[in-house]
Amino acid sequence: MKKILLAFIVLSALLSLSSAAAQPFSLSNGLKVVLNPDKTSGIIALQVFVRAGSAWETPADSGTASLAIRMITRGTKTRTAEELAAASEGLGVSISAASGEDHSIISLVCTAKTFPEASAILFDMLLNPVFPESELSKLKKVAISRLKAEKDDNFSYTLQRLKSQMFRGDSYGLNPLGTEENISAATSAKMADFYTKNFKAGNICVSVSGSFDNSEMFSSLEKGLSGIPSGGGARKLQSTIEAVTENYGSDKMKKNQAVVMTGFFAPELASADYAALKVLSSVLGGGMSSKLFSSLREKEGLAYSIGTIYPSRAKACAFIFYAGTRKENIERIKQGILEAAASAGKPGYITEKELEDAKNLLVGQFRLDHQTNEDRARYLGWFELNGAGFGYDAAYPETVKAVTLEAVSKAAVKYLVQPKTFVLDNE
Amino acid sequence: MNISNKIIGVAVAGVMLLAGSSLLAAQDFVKNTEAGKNGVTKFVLRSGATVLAKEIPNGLVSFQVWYRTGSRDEQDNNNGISHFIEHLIFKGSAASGVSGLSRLIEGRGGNLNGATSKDFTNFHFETAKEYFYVSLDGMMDCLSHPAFDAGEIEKERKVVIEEIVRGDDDPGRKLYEELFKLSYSGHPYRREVIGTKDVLEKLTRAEITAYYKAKYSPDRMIIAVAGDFKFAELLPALEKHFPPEEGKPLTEGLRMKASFTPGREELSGSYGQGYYGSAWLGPAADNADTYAMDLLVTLLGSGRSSRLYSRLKEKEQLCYALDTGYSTMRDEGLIYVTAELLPDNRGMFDKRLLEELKEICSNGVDAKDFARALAILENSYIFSHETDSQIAGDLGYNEAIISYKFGQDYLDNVRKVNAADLKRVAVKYLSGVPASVCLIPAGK
Repeated sequence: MKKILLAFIVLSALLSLSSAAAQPFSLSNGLKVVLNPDKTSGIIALQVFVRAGSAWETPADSGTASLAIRMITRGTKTRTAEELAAASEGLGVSISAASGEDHSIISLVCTAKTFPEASAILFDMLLNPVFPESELSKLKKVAISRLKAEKDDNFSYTLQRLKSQMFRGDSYGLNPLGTEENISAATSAKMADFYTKNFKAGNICVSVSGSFDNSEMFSSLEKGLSGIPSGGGARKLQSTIEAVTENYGSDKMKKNQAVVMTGFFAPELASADYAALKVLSSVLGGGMSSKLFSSLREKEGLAYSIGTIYPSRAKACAFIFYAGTRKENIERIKQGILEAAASAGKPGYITEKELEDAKNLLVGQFRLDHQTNEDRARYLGWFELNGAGFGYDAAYPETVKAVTLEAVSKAAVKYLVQPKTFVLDNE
Repeated sequence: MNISNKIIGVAVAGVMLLAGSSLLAAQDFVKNTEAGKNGVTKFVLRSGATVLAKEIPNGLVSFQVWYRTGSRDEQDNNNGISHFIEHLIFKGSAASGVSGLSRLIEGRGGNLNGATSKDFTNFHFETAKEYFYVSLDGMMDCLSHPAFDAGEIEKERKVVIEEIVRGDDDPGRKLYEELFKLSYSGHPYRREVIGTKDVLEKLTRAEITAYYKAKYSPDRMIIAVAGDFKFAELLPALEKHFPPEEGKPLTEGLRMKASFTPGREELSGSYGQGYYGSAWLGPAADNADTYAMDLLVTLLGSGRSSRLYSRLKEKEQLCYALDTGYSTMRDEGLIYVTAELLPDNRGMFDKRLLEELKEICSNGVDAKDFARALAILENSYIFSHETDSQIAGDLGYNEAIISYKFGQDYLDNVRKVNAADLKRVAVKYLSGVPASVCLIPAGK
């Protein structure tokens, strides 16, 4: 048994470097499926991407997706939450559900051997959820505790505060966990409404990576998921960023560390400027050789964690500089970040060599981030559902390599304007 | 920078020199070769270092260096020095200059990092196979000839102090460190890996250099490599980074018996909710009870249908999150149960936890729960050996703690455990009074 299992492991890596073999299919109800077989790993990772998350919510119903998607795993017409957990965990697998901004994901990772049984449990959850009040009442308490615990994570807390400041009036400003008021008001009926509204074939993409044969996997998905109603899919997220928002905000808390974050409005994943900004983020704040790391950490010793984030989003989002520091260094960090942002587009600030290194880093990290079947399924579904198409996964390395210094400088000049800063200060 | 060119030059020269005499050179360089399972080969080098390698033709390579030294080997007056040294290695060698190593590896699309723990210090990179040897030379150069530049030490001292400050705000880390502090009175596991601000502010360059020389010697070094390379090329590439003289095998400090102190502590701070933890002393890595203990903690807290999770969280709703764990370490590690909860529930949670454990000590576990725990543990082993870095990490970590064979034989040994063993280890390790810590929001 063990030898066979380990043989799987050796071979699994053979095809691990790309998802170039991925192919799209449509189930009879129109549900999009992307299959990426490697046939040798012995593992199957299946991810159900649903176009639902806080970006689709309003202040009055924020947090609904987060609760509802978790409730999917908490009871079906024929099984209780306890029975569902016992069934999947008895196979040694877990089915997890989580929601973010643009989408929610229900994820299954199992061995090829357990896939028939494990996927049957997943399909039951996806088709027959009943949202029991008793389970909802438990999850509501957990959700409220999560909201309170956000204050215990300086980085997430500051990021959420910056986003709510930058995206006032836009759904990206909402907390994906919702508000205490919204969570308390959630009912089983609201969860069921969410399900009826969002679980339509056109709002869902299922990506699968691992040891299977395409035709067998297709039949299995057709059998399991064709019962999801057709429709949906026409929706697109609208950006409603207010032209004037506050440029500066801060909170004082009893903490040892201070956090500085400065954000700029930046375009969505499907934008022509996306790749250039990814490269810019790599130059300025990617890895240990980035400009911010070497100036503010290596040379001045001002921060331990420092860098930039530019997430891949379905609508206009933010390019963010961050640094964890101490009260006495806040001003110097703020100034250092603004200097880097203001200089980024100037001739000579980024050299050809730095650009080349940053592109290599970006492509290299991308490859290294595709080593497990779960990673590969996640990238395919993410790109497919959020506007770039699953094929972007295979095209990404070449797209990044083609980015020129001129394009990066232009993107810096165009987007790194009107900085918005939020500081978590110490009392 | 021209550093990278210089390193490439050295690598090319090395390969050419050895082309005609690689066998002979390898025989001198390698003292002992052992064929492990699943394509793993162990080489003990003349210098005393160990190499564990596995060829996987997938286009990538993970290279990891594990030193059998960490905060466990420190004293009160130099606590944190291992972690500080880990940071300083990335500040480069005399040849590479500051940031030379990260530019060398990241500029070619690789990633690199380090980690320090109680039992080990680790340095690693992953990269495409084309850049493996140039990256290896860069990392080995920094490890063999660290600059420990006085000016850079001063700058990095500030960065590490930032890291301490950051950690102080993290309740998860704080809980774990407080549990260790309370549990181990007479054993170095009580000290925090990151050290204290007071000690860090005073450490001198001379102390750092002397400590590095004493503790980061080839006899404590394990190199674990998994990915797209050839044994025949790896050994000559490593040879030039080791001293020619024969080293001695490591004999000191291999095992220190841990003593455990039960106790109870409450700390209040700026927390959004309560964080609870209880710990007991578990078996050390060289104890055959580790397999039964891994199964027991899985049965107790892994998954929604696990014993403690289903009862204390799902049914009785005494907490919002619950986790169980057992650290397999060189000396006796901790078995722990942690939870996030309303501060008001901490007393009841504590009472119910001890009742549940008592019940297992009296009545054992049922067959269905046992089968589920085994399935979860088997699968999590498979899912955590999918990438090169997971495979190299398993070899390096286990060799640093006890032996790489621990990982190779792990599933076989887990499968030999039966339900009665779980009752036996529960009685042996979990029937005593634990060390308990609770972090509570100020004013609660």
